[in-house]
Amino acid sequence: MSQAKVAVIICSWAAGEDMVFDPKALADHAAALPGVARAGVVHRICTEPGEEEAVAFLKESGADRSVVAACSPRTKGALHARIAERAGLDRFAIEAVDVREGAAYVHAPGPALEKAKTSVAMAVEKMMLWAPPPQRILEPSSRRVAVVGDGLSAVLAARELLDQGLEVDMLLSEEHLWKPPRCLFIDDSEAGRAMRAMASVPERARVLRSRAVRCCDGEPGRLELVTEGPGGPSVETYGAVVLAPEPDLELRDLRGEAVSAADAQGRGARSVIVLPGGKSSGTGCSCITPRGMVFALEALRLYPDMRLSLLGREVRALGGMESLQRQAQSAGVMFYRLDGEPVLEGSPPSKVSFLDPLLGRTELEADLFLVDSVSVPRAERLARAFGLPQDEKGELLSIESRLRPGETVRAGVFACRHRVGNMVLEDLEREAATVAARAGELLRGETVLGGMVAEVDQERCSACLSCVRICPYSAPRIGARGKAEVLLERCQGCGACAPLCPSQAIKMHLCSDAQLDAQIGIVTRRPS
Amino acid sequence: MRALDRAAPEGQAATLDPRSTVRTVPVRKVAIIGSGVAGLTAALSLAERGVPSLVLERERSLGGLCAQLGCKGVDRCVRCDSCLARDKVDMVKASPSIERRRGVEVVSLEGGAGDLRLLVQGSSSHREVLQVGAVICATGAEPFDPSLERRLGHGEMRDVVTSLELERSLASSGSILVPSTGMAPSTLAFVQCVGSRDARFAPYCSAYCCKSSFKLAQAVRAKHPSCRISFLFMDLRLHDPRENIRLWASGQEGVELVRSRPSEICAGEGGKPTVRFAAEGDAALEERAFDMVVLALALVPSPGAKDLARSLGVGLDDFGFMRSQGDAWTSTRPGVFLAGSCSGPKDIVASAKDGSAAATRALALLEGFR
Ligand SMILES: Cc1cc2nc3c(=O)[nH]c(=O)nc-3n(C[C@H](O)[C@H](O)[C@H](O)COP(=O)(O)OP(=O)(O)OC[C@H]3O[C@@H](n4cnc5c(N)ncnc54)[C@H](O)[C@@H]3O)c2cc1C
Ligand code: SF4
Ligand code: SF4
Ligand code: SF4
Ligand code: SF4
Repeated sequence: MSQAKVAVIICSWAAGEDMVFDPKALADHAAALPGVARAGVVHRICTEPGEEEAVAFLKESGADRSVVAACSPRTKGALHARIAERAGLDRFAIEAVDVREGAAYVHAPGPALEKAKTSVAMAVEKMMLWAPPPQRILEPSSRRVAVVGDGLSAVLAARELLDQGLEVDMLLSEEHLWKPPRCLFIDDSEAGRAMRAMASVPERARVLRSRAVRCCDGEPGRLELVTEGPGGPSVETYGAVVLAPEPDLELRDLRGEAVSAADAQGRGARSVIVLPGGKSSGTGCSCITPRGMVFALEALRLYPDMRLSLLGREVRALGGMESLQRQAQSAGVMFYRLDGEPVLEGSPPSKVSFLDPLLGRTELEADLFLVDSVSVPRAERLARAFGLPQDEKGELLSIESRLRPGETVRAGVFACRHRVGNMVLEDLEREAATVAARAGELLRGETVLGGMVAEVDQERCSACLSCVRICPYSAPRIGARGKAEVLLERCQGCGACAPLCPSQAIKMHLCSDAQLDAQIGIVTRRPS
Repeated sequence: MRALDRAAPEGQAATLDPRSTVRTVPVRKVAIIGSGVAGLTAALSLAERGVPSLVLERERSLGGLCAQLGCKGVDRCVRCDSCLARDKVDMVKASPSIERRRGVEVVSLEGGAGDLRLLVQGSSSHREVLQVGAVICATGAEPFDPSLERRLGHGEMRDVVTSLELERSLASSGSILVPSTGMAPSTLAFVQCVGSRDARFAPYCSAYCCKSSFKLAQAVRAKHPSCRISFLFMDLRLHDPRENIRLWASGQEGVELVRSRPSEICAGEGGKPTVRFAAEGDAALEERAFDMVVLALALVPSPGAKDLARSLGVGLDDFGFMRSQGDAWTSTRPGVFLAGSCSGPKDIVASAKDGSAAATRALALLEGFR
């Protein structure tokens, strides 16, 4: 094996705008480290000329791997990989050290330079032991996206995907789309806009009715979805999957029946009280919401003598929704604050008693009680089919990464969230747009799988299942040889499995035990 | 290698220029005005989908309001999302298909959707015409000027600070200290809805400030664990219902939530800011002195919004934000889309999501899918 050669690039801005230390001093230190073929300062590598200079520097250095001391790899990782590839290196053969946030921004000049030197030395030592990791460029085989859901959210997500030129299959669990509740729309133009989407979007998509998703296999860009429906089970390949289970946004009576303003009038109700879902509901939301206000305004329009009271701890009316609140208040809708849970009295209930912080113990009578709650039905089955976690209310959990909204732990599977903002049409639209944009980015962009992933040494594995059980991403499975294997497209490189393996069969690529030892060695050997 | 053909697919969109009635192929480039989190997200989202863009920023640096905010995570991240803009600035700089211009102002916009000519003015009185298919306006909003609300004593008492001032101090020095003494505060009040939900100023909820003050309160507690915090609010409105400020407060000794809108802040004993407010369920007016009071400022339309709307030929709504039509991201002029708090106050996450939504609309226009 030929001796590994490392090229070290120091970005001229690595020390921050204030030049907390001299990048040249860092380069000189790096040049003298064992294994370093060449070290030098490149003028701002995240500019176009800087990128060219870095590529040329790497090419000329004759090195086969590199360390770049600059800013965060979290935001610049794609650039670093591009530089490596353009210089003819493996895209993973570049180790980034954030000496800006890690040293220049947080230490005084002297210690900052010392820390930067140590960090670079650690990275060089680590790269000396570098080996190419498993990797694969994702080639989406399909521009078709499956949207799973039964209502408006699914329709909105499908529209956003169609508008990007993607093909869409809408997978309904029932025969027909659910109608959204009237109280979701703050005015007629919103209702019209939603109804138009409900009518026109399914015409542009392929609608598969009464289909239940059983499981999902494969990798992003090539996901195999097994569904079951009237025609029996079927398997289809999709580029991506968008999960948009419809939240229940209706106001319901105490028996659970959805009640619109017209229904309330039809039932001859003279006095209606809307209670928050509270602890018992899907959301645990104890607020008065815009949906309650819309209902009340509509009811008053139909039946001006009706008495309408909204109960809740807070009034959820973010942004412009404040106007709706004022409109409802001036129309005579009563808003009561709740401290604790309200108690219904009588059977059937005719009275509610609660603690209002201003009025004290308060009793109100009504002939119709409605509950304003949001719940996300059917998420259990979806969660199981896709191997996704749910939150405490049952909503599908997306990775709440600020940089990757909508993504789930399964690459290529995206999920809409519903419990955001005012939970009115605009919020559903915003979620659908975000998630669909993420799916579009995946199918049009380049995605590289692999890199920092776990790999099982099949000779050592004793098939104890520890890794299969611990992995949060369902990446390891027992393969055909009866030994564990890690699926490249699922593994996130979290490292949870490696230390648990009793047979020490799991190796972490780009972060092996030997590499860690070498890095620790630098710190412990460092002269004080 | 691109797995999928990035060129415009067949059935290339042809739009009708209303003036010339000549069929034109849309220009495959989007101009994005404003480099806050909304504009940056739009640019990145377009880049990921193979559409080049040009980010135009009036100021000398990118990132918008968000870039002036501090990290509120002291011992751990509290998800204030401030670092999102900074991360995105870095990502935009590293993207080969995003051009950036700083120090430029928009002069006028001509042409029809798909074929627009944006006239911009650089710092050195140099003018330039940019040929683009679509424009995304992401010019943000501004914090409310607290001197308009004299009763709250900002400018008169050094220890009454705005949330923005506190953010800036957090961003620059990482500290939260009482301005007049330079010492750690032992009592601190957050006054919410300053300028917001007020018919005289911003008759709407600013949508970000409950979240931001909640995160600031967590930063204060983490830095100064014995500091007593009073949170004076009208409603607790967090975008994400999973975030529970009540739960947090109930687990912290010395943090109280008071539902009340203070009537006045004046200098009390030793010049300490003294807040007058009616406590909930109690008719009497209470007076309490704090080491430091933080005013959570409203987000209001920027003074330049009117001129910009005129230059772009788009409408404004009753509050002075950019008017949307059809959905929240479509302006009144075909080919011009809206993102972020220029069309209404929003927090960082919602502004970023707006960026992707507006990007999809611009893409649909360029590729003719809509
Ligand atoms: C004190 C304070 C604290 C906050 N804390 C939080 C928080 O903790 N969490 C949170 O989620 N949100 C917070 N926010 C809200 C957050 O700042 C906004 O949600 C966010 O900045 C909106 O992003 P934007 O991209 O829409 O606009 P901005 O960030 O305002 O960016 C707009 C950009 O457009 C530029 N521009 C304007 N006009 C023109 C023009 N004519 N030509 C060219 N460029 C132009 C501006 O210079 C600016 O760079 C806070 C706000 C304030 C005031
Ligand atoms: S933990 Fe180790 S021994 Fe057990 S199944 Fe996984 S790889 Fe095999
Ligand atoms: S490294 Fe993490 S994600 Fe990968 S297989 Fe192990 S536990 Fe699963
Ligand atoms: S800026 Fe906010 S979101 Fe970012 S790390 Fe700090 S606390 Fe977390
Ligand atoms: S978000 Fe909170 S502090 Fe801000 S205006 Fe709305 S209610 Fe007031």
